[in-house]
Amino acid sequence: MAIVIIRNLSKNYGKGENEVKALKHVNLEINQGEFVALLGTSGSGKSTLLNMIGGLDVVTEGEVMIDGHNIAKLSRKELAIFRRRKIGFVFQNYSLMPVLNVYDNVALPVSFDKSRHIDHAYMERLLKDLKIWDKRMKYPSELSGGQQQRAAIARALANKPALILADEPTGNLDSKTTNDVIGLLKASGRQYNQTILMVTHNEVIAQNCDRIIRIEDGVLYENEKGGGLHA
Amino acid sequence: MHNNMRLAISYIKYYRKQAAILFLGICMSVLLMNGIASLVYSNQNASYENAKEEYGSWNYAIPKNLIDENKIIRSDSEYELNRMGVYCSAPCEAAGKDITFCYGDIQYLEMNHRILLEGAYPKHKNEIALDYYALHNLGMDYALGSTLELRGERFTLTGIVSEGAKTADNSILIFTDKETVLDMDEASFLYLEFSDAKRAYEQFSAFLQKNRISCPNPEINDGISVYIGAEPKETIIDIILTALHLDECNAVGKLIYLFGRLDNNDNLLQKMIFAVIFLFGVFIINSIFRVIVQKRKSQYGLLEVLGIDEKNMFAAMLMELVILFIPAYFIGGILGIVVAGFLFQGTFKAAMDIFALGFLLFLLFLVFCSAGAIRNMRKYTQTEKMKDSSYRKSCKIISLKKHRIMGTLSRRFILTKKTAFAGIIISLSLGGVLFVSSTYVADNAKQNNEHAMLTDESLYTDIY
Ligand SMILES: Nc1ncnc2c1ncn2[C@@H]1O[C@H](COP(=O)(O)OP(=O)(O)OP(=O)(O)O)[C@@H](O)[C@H]1O
Ligand SMILES: [Mg+2]
Repeated sequence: MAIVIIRNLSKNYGKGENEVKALKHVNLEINQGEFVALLGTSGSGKSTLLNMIGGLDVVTEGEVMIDGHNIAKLSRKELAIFRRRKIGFVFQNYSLMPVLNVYDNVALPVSFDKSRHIDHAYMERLLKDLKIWDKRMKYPSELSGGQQQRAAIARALANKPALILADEPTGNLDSKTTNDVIGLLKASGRQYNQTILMVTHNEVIAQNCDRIIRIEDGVLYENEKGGGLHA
Repeated sequence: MHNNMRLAISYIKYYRKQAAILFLGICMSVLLMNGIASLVYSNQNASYENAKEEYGSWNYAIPKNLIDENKIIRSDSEYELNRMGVYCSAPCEAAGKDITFCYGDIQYLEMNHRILLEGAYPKHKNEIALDYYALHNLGMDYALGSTLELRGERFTLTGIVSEGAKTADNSILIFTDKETVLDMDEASFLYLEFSDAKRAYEQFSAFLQKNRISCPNPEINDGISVYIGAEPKETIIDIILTALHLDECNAVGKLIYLFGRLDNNDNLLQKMIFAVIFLFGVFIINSIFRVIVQKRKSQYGLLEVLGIDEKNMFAAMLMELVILFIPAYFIGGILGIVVAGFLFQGTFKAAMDIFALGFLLFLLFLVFCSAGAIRNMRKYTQTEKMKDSSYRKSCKIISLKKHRIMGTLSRRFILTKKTAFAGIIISLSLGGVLFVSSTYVADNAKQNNEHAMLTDESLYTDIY
């Protein structure tokens, strides 16, 4: 069953001379439980695609359906609830709340959901798996880039979302930690039947995913694993 | 609620400097507002006290024959009689002088500051008490026991009283015992003094109604009527209509009349001063708040992405403001009142109703402030918000849009010119204090002048 359906999606930034066509008539379907790698050079439109799927920006053309909902049609409040329950984001620049410590940052989306309470045992396991349990009382500014990145990953997983959108979640990690994190994502995906769309520059990691999508200049290319860009 | 509170506290703890600036901003505005309000109040109170000293503290006088004074109901839900005094007077021409024999009971004498300086009030027939003005004009010795021959009778001075409040008639008053006055062709009045808690006119009307008295033309103590509200309250519309129909005045005259009437009726000048100071506070707090919110735009964007809805963000923002506001208001307000108390010479009166009203108004303003900030966020998409801190370009675009110029201006100002901003706040506060102190000094001077002129006049009449 497809959890993400994108039809004829285009996104332009700016107007007139300054117009940038970041996405050009993109069509994509991602099935539930799939672990998808998104590969592409810098500026090719990876982050833009993730933002469009997460409903962070308005589309120029086309539509994005997630779990049967056209996200452009959701109200502000519905979208907030939808994101809180269904989507976990990992941003390229980590985007942690500077005023909260690691633990509160990770618990934030769940703590504002009245119908749920924080699963402290799960949180502890998550932070221990990501090796930042001993940093849980620290503020983001007191952490290294890699630690912040792992805190951001923990936050995306904390509410056990159906869809995880991760923008280079391992960009700042050494190869050992990278492997651990990818392993964790995979395990989590399997356990909770999560769909993961992950941007990466690492071919080896990509080869270990269920599926690879390449993007170049706003256009998607899909090929069998191990294939070249213009297969 | 618990989560919002935690977020609010986290923000305050993390951005201590922002919190401190906001706290100080609130403190300053509140200090200014409450300080000035108390100065104005005290000044008005002092004028009222002076006027009472000069004209007596009674509000109305009604003919005594309208009601049996022993059956009077002295208080009700709508009025409260502080004091009620009886005064009887019988004018008579004697020795070519304008003389009035009179009697006042103790309450009347108190209300009119006829304090006994020497001796005793007359108790028996042919005993009299006089003030120095009367002694002088009647050519008597300033000593108890000295006598006066009038209309073939002999009167003995048993007491000397103070000059007391001004009265309408300038005749020489001879205080004597009640029976003596009642035997003459006298007129008796009840002098009424109502509580200061409410306007006098409404209390007086309720008093008349309750006691079933009809008194179309009571005597009003004109000297204090402005302070106690002894005249019926006119509506603003009535005043404006009257002003417009003042044919003999030009536009400026009409305006002056209008302003004067409104000021008399509603303390308009006072209200305007308070409004201006309140708006000044609102401006300062709003400016600081805008800068803070603008700096945190990316964080609010992130919260929204994480699924924290507007309601929760509003609550967190408001709580943060309220947590700072409550202690800031009390500290600033009390400090303002204390400082004003030190500055003011004379009986000081703290403006507690402005303190309470200001608290509510500021609280309301904070609600609007937070709601406005959240609404303002809607203009941006999430990606715009989250990128904001690194996007210098968008700042320029913002400043070109007219409706955001205020925000941009204040942001630029506070961020880049902290000392200049502090300077402006201080000078504005100083300006406010100077402005008010000068108005009340001028006001006092005016009253003192009037005072001086009146005493001069009375001196002349004394001697000639
Ligand atoms: N807010 C924006 N305004 C204008 N242009 C933008 C904006 N965001 C992205 N772009 C442009 O859209 C294109 C795609 O950007 P995007 O961020 O999606 O690239 P990316 O693939 O994520 O690159 P990277 O690997 O460097 O993160 C780029 O040319 C970029 O300049
Ligand atoms: Mg990117």
